Formats: sequence, structure tokens, C-alpha cells
Amino acid sequence: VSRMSIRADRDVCIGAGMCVVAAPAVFDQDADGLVLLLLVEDSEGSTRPPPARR
Amino acid sequence: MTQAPAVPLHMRRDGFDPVEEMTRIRRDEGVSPVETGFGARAHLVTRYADVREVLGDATRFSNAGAFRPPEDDRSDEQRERDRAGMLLAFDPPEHTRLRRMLTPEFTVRRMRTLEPRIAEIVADHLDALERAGRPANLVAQFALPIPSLVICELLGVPYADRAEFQARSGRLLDLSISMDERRELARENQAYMDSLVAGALADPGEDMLGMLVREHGAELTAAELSGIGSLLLIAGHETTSNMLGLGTLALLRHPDQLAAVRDDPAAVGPAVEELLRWVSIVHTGVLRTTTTEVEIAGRRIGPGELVLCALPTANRDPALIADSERLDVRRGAPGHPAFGHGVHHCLGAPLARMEMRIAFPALLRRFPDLALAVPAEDVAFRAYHFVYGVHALPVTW
Repeated sequence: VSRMSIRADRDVCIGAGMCVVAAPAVFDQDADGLVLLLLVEDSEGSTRPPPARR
Repeated sequence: MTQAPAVPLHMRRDGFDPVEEMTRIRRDEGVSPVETGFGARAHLVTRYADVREVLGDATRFSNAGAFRPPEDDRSDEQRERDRAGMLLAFDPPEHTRLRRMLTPEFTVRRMRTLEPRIAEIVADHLDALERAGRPANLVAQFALPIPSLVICELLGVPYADRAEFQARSGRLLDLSISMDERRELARENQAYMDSLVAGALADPGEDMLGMLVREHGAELTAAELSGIGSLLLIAGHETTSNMLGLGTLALLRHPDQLAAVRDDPAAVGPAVEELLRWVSIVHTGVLRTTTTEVEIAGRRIGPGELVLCALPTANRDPALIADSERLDVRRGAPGHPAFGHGVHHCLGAPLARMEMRIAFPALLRRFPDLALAVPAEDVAFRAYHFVYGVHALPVTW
């Protein structure tokens, strides 16, 4: 099983929303339009939904 | 009668396709010197990977444009006034400052709240088409008025003024007009938007101009508000309207794909992405100025030179997608550069997507037998226009 790690840099985000279009289960936008991750990194370094969302 | 100027190489199309010479440049050298059409030479970038690299690097490839056409005799003060609020004329951090004020208005979620109203606008225009009867001109009766009304309501521009500003922006984007006419039209456009901004400053409404005044009034000058308004008004209706017109024409020429968009709701999203890629309405070339020596496709380009990114060839690059010349709406996916790339990626992309996802299937379901009312070869493409499209689209059903 391959592992994927996702990081979002909100300082360079321009809020185009491309990520939400491409992968709505992984990305969202906050009220300012900047990227939000719907997945968090767990202790083994792989990304999973935040506990509340599982 | 004055002779129309030659269409610059990078804007030449063979119907929907880039001309053979453009495809050859992409295959062979990748980058080629070209006349821009406004009295300057540029390096034309034709490949998907190179276009992404240029547009993705605002540090080495600047929008702030040191370039100035020889016939541009405006004072420095006037030039600053004219570019105020024009996001495409700035680099970070100035660009970031303006863009961050607008981003909340164009989130994917925000667009979903507009969906019912857009669906209503589309249905109203389909009703009117049905009442007026066949044949119809789909550009004048559907493709242009829908995005125009949507952006007017969103921005806070009186739709009653549409005849005036549609004519102006249509002319402004025509490459073949004289510099004098362009300047006069730009002046009229600026005066019109200035008057709307003055109204919004006095009494800010619930629309986007009103929001900008209420939330950012202290940070924005009236000239910036006017520039933002002008840019969004032009960008909001010229682009989506030509995608609706050309997209419908493309589907009419591919009846099995038209049937998929009409009959299968799941086919609509991918179809919109594939039409954006295959049609490439922004065919003027996206201009940047190098800030340092760069290398593109093995060619060294010095600082202060113009680089012109060709979206039609990038969108048809086999490196982007296999069998790239073929339209196949079933395989459509985001990732194409039709909306650009990098910090200037189309602000209104979520709105444009929403409008197309509603309008295409609604049109095809209302008129399941939609067909061209003239022979296909009689549909004239707008060769001289900054945004590719058709002058008229006569249809019947």
C-alpha cells in the first residue's frame, strides 16, 4: 500500500478552489477561500480524516 | 475601408484546432519568436509543461509589465490610474492584496449558493427561446445574456445598461480596432464603472461592489474599485459566453457526446472540463515579462523579454493527455490550463464551471433535437478577437 502525505501552504494559497474541484474529499476552503485540509497526518505519517470526521 | 491586420500566428485557428504551424512548433522547437500583434516581439511558449512553469513562477515571469507599446503616449500618472485594481497587471505582493479581498466571493461553496438563481436565469432564457421560436441565434439569445446577467447581479451592475457595456467590451477585445478607438472605449468603460463605484460608495448594496466598499473601503481607492469592477465585468461575460457558444457547437458536431451530456447527469462535470481544454477560448496568448535570464525548452531568454503562453497548444499537448486532438467528454478532468495556472489562475473559474454545468444540460434537455440551422461551414469564428468564439450560432430544434 503506498502512503501519501498532504501538506497545504496557506501562505501561498490563492484560493482558486482547484483542489476542491479535483478532490472534494480531501480539500475544502475556509470563509476567506483559502485551502483547508479535510485529512490530517497521523502518528505514522499517513493522512487520514480528522477523528471527528471518521 | 481599412484593411484588417493579419492575425498573429499564435491566434490562428483552424476551426477549433490550433493551426498546423503551431502544432509543429510545439513538437519541434517548443519555443519560437513571434509578433505579438501590438508592435512587439515575444517568445511563444507552446508546450503544456513549459506553460505551467512560466505561469507558475510569478517571480521570474512578471505581470507588472515593463513593456510599453510605442504608440502608448499616456503619462505615467494616467497609466497608474488605468491599471489600478487590475489584478492581471500586478505581481505579488500587490496582486495578493487585491486577490485576497475577492477570493471569498468565488469559493466553490459560495458558488453553490448561487446555483438556484443561475438555474432560474437559464430556465428563463430557455423559455424566451421557446417563445421566440426557431430558428434562433444561440449566441445572442442564450450564450451571451446568461453569463452577462449573472455577473451583473453578482457585481451590482444594472442589467438595463447591458447593450452599452456589452458593445463596448466586445469592441475592446477586438484585436483589429485602432489604438485611438481602444483608448476611447477604455475611457468610456472607466467613466461608466466610476459612476457605479460612486453609487456603491454612497450607498453600498448587497452585491460585490457593495461588499468591497463595506469590508475593504478603507484599503481600496475609488480607482481600484473601478478597475476591479471593470475587470470582473468583462471577464465575467465574454469568457463564459464564448464557452457556452463554442461548447454547444462542439457538441453539435459530436452528436454521441452531446447525447451523453444531455442524458447522463454524471457526464456533465467531466464534459465541462474536456470542453474547456479542447475549445481553449483564451487564445491571445498569456503575456509575461522575464525578470531574469531564463531557459525554456532549451532556449535561453534574457531579462526584460516578453514571453507569450499559448493555451490552445498547451491544452492539446500529448504530454497533457493521450490522443490530445480528440474531443472526448467522458474523460474530462481538471488539470488543463484553460483557466491559466499559478497566482493568476482565473478567479471566476468556480462561477464559470457552475454556469456551464447548469446551462449545457438544461439547453440540451429543453431542445433534445437541437441542430445547426445553417451548414456547419457557414458558422464564422471570430479570428481577431482576444476571446475565441463565434459571431452567431443559428440553431433550430
